[in-house]
This record gives sequence, C-alpha cells and structure tokens, in this order.
Amino acid sequence: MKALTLTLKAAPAQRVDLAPITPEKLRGKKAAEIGRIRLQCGNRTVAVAELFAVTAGNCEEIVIRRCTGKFDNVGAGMTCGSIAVHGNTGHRTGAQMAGGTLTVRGSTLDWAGTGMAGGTLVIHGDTGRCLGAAWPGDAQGMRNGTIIVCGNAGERVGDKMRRGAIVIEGNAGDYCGARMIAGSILVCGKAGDFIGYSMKRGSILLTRVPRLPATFNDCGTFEFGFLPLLLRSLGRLSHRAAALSKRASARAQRYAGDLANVGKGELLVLR
Amino acid sequence: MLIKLTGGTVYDPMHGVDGQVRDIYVRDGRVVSSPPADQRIDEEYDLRGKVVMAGAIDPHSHIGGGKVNIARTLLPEDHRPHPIPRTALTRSGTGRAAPSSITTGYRYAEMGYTAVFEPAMLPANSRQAHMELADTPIIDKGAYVMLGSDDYLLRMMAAGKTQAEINDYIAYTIVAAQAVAVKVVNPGGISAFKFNQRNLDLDEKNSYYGVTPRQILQTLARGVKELGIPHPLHIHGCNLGVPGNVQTTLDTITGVEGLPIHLTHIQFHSYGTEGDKKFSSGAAQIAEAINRHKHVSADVGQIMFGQTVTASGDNMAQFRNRGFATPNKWVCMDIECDAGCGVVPFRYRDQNFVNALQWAIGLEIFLLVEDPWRVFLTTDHPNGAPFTSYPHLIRLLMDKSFRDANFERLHPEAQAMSTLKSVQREYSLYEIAIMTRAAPSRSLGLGDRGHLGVGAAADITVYTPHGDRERMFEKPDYVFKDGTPVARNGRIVRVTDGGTHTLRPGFDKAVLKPLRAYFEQFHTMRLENFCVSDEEIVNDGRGRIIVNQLRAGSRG
Ligand SMILES: [Zn+2]
Repeated sequence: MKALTLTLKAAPAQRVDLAPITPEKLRGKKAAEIGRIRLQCGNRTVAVAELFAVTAGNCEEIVIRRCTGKFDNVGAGMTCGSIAVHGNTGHRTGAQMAGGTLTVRGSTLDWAGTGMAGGTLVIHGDTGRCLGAAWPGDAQGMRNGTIIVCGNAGERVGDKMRRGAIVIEGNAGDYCGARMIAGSILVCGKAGDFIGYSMKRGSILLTRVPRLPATFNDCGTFEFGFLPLLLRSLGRLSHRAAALSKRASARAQRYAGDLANVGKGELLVLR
Repeated sequence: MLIKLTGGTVYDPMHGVDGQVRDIYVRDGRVVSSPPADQRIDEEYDLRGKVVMAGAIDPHSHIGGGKVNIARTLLPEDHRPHPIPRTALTRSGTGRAAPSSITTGYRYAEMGYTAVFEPAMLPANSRQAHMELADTPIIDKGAYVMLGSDDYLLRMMAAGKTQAEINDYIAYTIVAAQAVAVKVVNPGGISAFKFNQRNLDLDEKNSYYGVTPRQILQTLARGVKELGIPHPLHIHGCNLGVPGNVQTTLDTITGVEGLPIHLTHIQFHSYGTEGDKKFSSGAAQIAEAINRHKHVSADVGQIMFGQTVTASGDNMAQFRNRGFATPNKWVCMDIECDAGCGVVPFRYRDQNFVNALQWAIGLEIFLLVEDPWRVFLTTDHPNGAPFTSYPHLIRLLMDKSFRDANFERLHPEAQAMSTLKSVQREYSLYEIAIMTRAAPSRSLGLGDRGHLGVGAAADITVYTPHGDRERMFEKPDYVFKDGTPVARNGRIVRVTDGGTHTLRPGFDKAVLKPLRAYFEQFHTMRLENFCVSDEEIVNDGRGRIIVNQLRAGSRG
C-alpha cells in the first residue's frame, strides 16, 4: 500500500500547528476523516482538507508535499512509522518525538528535535537555533534518538542534551553543546564560539580545533576505542560520518571541560 | 439600584441565623433593611429552595508574592498541560497548583469566595505581592506581612530594645507593606538556616543573634495585641513536618502567656513518633489543647492526594523536604535578609503511609476541635492541595459515609494508626458557614464582610442544596460581589476588581531614623522606595484600599 500523502494546495497566511498529523494519531482513519481534522492556524482553526489535497494511503507512512516554513510541530510527538516532508518546515520539527523516522527534504526553523526521546530525525537542508535543545523550563534537552543535519545548524545545538547523537555535516553555531549533560555531538564543519559552555559530561566530536573556551584543558592525543564504532554507526545515516569513519584513525586530541561545571565532558578533535 | 433576593434559606452565623427563610435587600452594594412596600424593586432573584450565605473568605492561601512566581517558573509541568483559553469575558491563563493570578481570581469567585488572604508577604517583596494581587480579579485581597526572621527585628531583640520600640517597628512595617496582619514563619529559624542551623527548637538560640523562637513569638504576639491588630499573630511554628513536633506545638500554645495566637496549617505541626514507623497522629492532643485554650485559633492546611507544589518561607523545612521533590527539582533561597523561600513540588499519595496519615490527621483536627469559630477551612493552597479542592474537603467534613469510603482506600497501616473512623461528627451547613465566612471575618476584623446583616457588604453566595456537598459547593448558582452578580452556575458572568484590606496602626516617627540609617547601610533600596503607597494599589481606580478598624483600646 502506498503512503498517505498530503499535498499543500496554497501557502497559508498564518502559522499552522501540524502536531495532529502523526502516524499514531491518524491510525485507522479514512482520508475523508483526516481531511476533517482541525488544525490551529493563527488564531482560528482550519480543516486539513482546506490546506492539503489528501491522497489515501498507509497512515504509518506519511508524505507531506510542498511543505513550507509556516508549518510548526511537524512530526512532533510521533512514536512510530515515518513522515517524509518535501519542502521546508517551521519551528519544533520533531519536537518530543519518541520513535519512528522523520525526514525533511528541506530546511527547518528553530527548536527541531527539542526534548526528543527517540527515533531518527534527518534534515537535508539547514536548521535554526536550539536543535535537540531543552525547551525553556525543561531540565533536559534531547533524551535519546539520532538527529542528522546535512546542512548547517544555528546556535545552541544540543543545549542540556541528556543522551543520543546529533550529527551536523556542515557548521554549527555558537554555544554548541552548551550545558550538555551527556550524549554525543559530531560537527563535521566548523563550530562557533563558546563550544561546550558549562557542559557536565558528553562528547563533542570535531574535525578541527575550535576557538577553545578558557575552562577546557588540553589532555593530549589518545587512541579511543569507541571512535571507529561510533562513526561507523552514525555512518549508516550520514555520508560525512561514513567518510570520516573510513578516513579518521581512532586518534583524537582531547580537551576536558567545562571545568567551570562538573568538567567530565570532552571535545575530541579527530586526527 | 435595589435588588431583592427572595425566599432563600439563609445561614448567617454572625447574627445567629441558622437556616431561616428570609428576603435580603441589596442597594448600591450593601445589604439594607426591607424597604417600604411601595418601593420599586429593580431586580429580583427567586431563591426559594436555595441556600444563601455570605461570600466565603479564605484566610490562608498563597496567591501572590515571590514564591508563587518561583513555583510557576519551576514547574512548566503545571502549566503546559493545563492551558485555560480566554473567553469573551475572561482572560487566558494556565496552571492548577500555581495558577496564573488572573485564573486564581476567576476560580475563587466561581466557587463563591469573595476574599482571599495571602499569608506570607515579605516586607521586601510587598510591592511585587500587591502587584500580583492587583492582577487577581473580582475577589478582595489582603496580605500578612512576615516578621520574625528579618535581620532588623532580630538585631533589635539582640540589642534588648523595648517592646514599645519593637511595636513601632511592627506598626511601621504593616503600614509600609500595606498588610492586614502579621505572620511569623519558623520564628528565627529562617535566619538560623543561613547560619548553618538545620533545626531550631522553641528554646534553642539562633546562633548569631542569640534569640530563641519562644522570645520572638512572645514579642511579636504581644506587639500585635498591643497595637490592636485584629488578627492574632499568625504562626507557622517551629519544626514543620518533623515527627514529634506535636510537643513543640503544645509548648507554643502554652508558651505565649495567654496572648492571642493563630496557628496556621496546624496539620503539619501535629505529628507524634509512635508506632513502628515512628510517625503518628497528634491530632487528639492538639484538638484538646485548642478546645481548652480559648486564646488559640487555627487553620488546618488539609492535604489532598495528587500533584501540587509546596511554597513556603520556611527554607529550613523545605531544605529538609527536598528529597521528596516530585518532579525532582527544588529551590531554596534567601530574600533580602528579610526571610527566605523554599519551593518543593510534591505529590501526595494515598498509598504512602505518611501522606495517608497526614490526610487523616487534618480531618481528625477538623472534627475534634469543637468550636468552628476557632478552626478555619484551608489546604494552605498550594502546599496541602490547590484551593479548588475545597468543595471535596467540605464533603469530607459533612458526609461521614463519604469520608469513611475515602478512608478505606488509604494505606492500611495508616488506617490502623488513625481514629478517624470512630469520629461520628458531620459538619452542618451552619458550621461550614462559620468556618468559611463568619470566623475568618471576625478573626481578621473585616467588619462588614462575612455576614449578611444590614450594612454588610453584599458579598453573597447562593447554592442549590444537594446531597453531594461537593457538587453543591463546586458551582454556586449565584455569586454577588459588592452587589454585582459575578458568577452564575460556576461560570464568571462579570469581571470586577476587588479591594485590598489594610490596617493603619499608629507609630512613633522616631522609628524612622534608625531604620533609614539601616536601609542606607545594608539594603538594596531606600526606605522611601520600600513603602508601598496607596496610589500604587489604587492604580487609577482599578484597586481600592479598605482600611480596617483596629481593636478597641489599642493606642493606634
Ligand atoms: Zn501557608
């Protein structure tokens, strides 16, 4: 059975909350029923069918075509199945998702994967600020799962991240891995300033030495047994990680920090 | 405008009216005597078969001031899942345990409450507290100013200042903070915590100032009495939540030399150490002591099962309880050397032995204290439970079979440790009217509130009698605030702004000189900025200041 497909008819004037469109929330619903679901649009609601042409199909596999940055909460809270988005998405793409695969063949705005607890989020373009970060008021950011960004990411990648892995194939903005509690971040391009600001534990993998904060200490170059394993597993989802796993040795320069906090985190610059 | 409320069954304990069918006339926001027969009635409400009481008064509910905002900030879990959309009439808000100030006003009014008192306003925080209360619509407000761990009072006591000088300081603080009563929280203990003391018993000295809680209680209780403050010293005693604190509470009752005192959330101060788990009910002893000592009143601080957040000035107790934080996060802080603050989210569970017994202890106190004029209905919102659980609590008090059914669901060992099931008492509507209206009004000296006599403010609540008292008290048919219908069948129909109850005790201006010097030397603001002016509360007519009478015979 082919995928359930929503094709945008005309760009909405206001922001639209797409959280009701996930495999588990649509399970067992017919196309007409899905068309009647109300979506918050600005300060009023509209029916799915007003915005999208709905083509019946398997609800476990949703395709959204011609999506734009006006659509927030795409795939938010999804726990299973897959959503493939052709076009861009707005804020909170894949927020709190706990399972399944969300693929955006375009770019997202801020807060993608915030509070994510599982599953895989792949963004083919760029992403905004606070990727996999903690939503304001929350004690933890991303708690598990994998995020791949093929383009660049904005500031505060993985803020208060607790577990899981984030791969940025391009560049990452300032405060990458700020207040990280644990988990892994790989930045294949350049990372901005204040990297690992106040991080407690966790690993930030880099391909070049960033501008180092004063509270990170150079520990020298070591052989890390886990590096080839980690890169190979990430390489299943990311070409750049795959390339690195072939090229890089298991050696990395280690900088420990943030010594202004617990200081058990590390920046590993691959050699 | 003359309104007639026709044929309701009236409960007005201030005038001994116990369920008599009467007509009530309201003109321009006040209850008036029956007009001549030819007088035109502008509006008539047929209340035949309905129960009519004055608007309810909550004498202890944390609805403003810094700690509530800290609780809100700490707990996105409390507001994200509970959004309250705006309507054509009401504004949006969030939250259950620590709701938005706007929502708080609506919910209280919908439940028939027309006055609520914030019991823990730090002098240094009073402006923020009043601004928040100003954002609490419909109901009248008032606040108790917190003294007893403030650096200035402790310095005065350590230096051996006279009672008269201390009285001037108390009076000045009441006026400056626009308060209606004085509260003391863990006397001297909040200060002692900062000097690394983790417990402070009634006769234990604060290690820095050398002053004991007993001395502080006596000094403040005497000051409150001599100044003619209507409400006795509002005491949150030592050793909150500590097993065995029943003895501390009994010592507090006998230790104030017969001065009038009010013991707040006394449930948290009525724990013994009997039984295998070294935690038992001291309710019988406490109730017996209250029954015997007529100078003592109390409110209960009943707990209810479910998620809430505890917010208290008692940083010592809150630091002790931090391990119980659910979800696991908490805040303890000093505030301007005036007092402290601790916020610990909490989930009371009926299958937890201690929580189950706390629930039973609260109800035991309600039922064993004989005089409803001296025990008020509170959950210490939000510490024991959100105030929205009051209708449920009233049903527990009025309906023994309902109470027993709830009791039988408790942790079995807690059931074995409680005598609750053997208590036959069921509160009457008249007694509920006393403890939620007349008694708090009389205790706080609110004058024209809490009753329905001629001249009273027309704060009136009308219920449909129902066997299920929870249903009855949840959604009153009508709520009138100063004669204006504000709620109908538990929904807001008109949004008004309430007033702020204050007092104006006199003081010798000589108190200002050393205070000014102290502010210049130590404080983050000047004395002039510390005072909350009338204009700030009146706010171009949105607010209103109500100056209550001091007790006769005082020097005010
Ligand atoms: Zn309280």
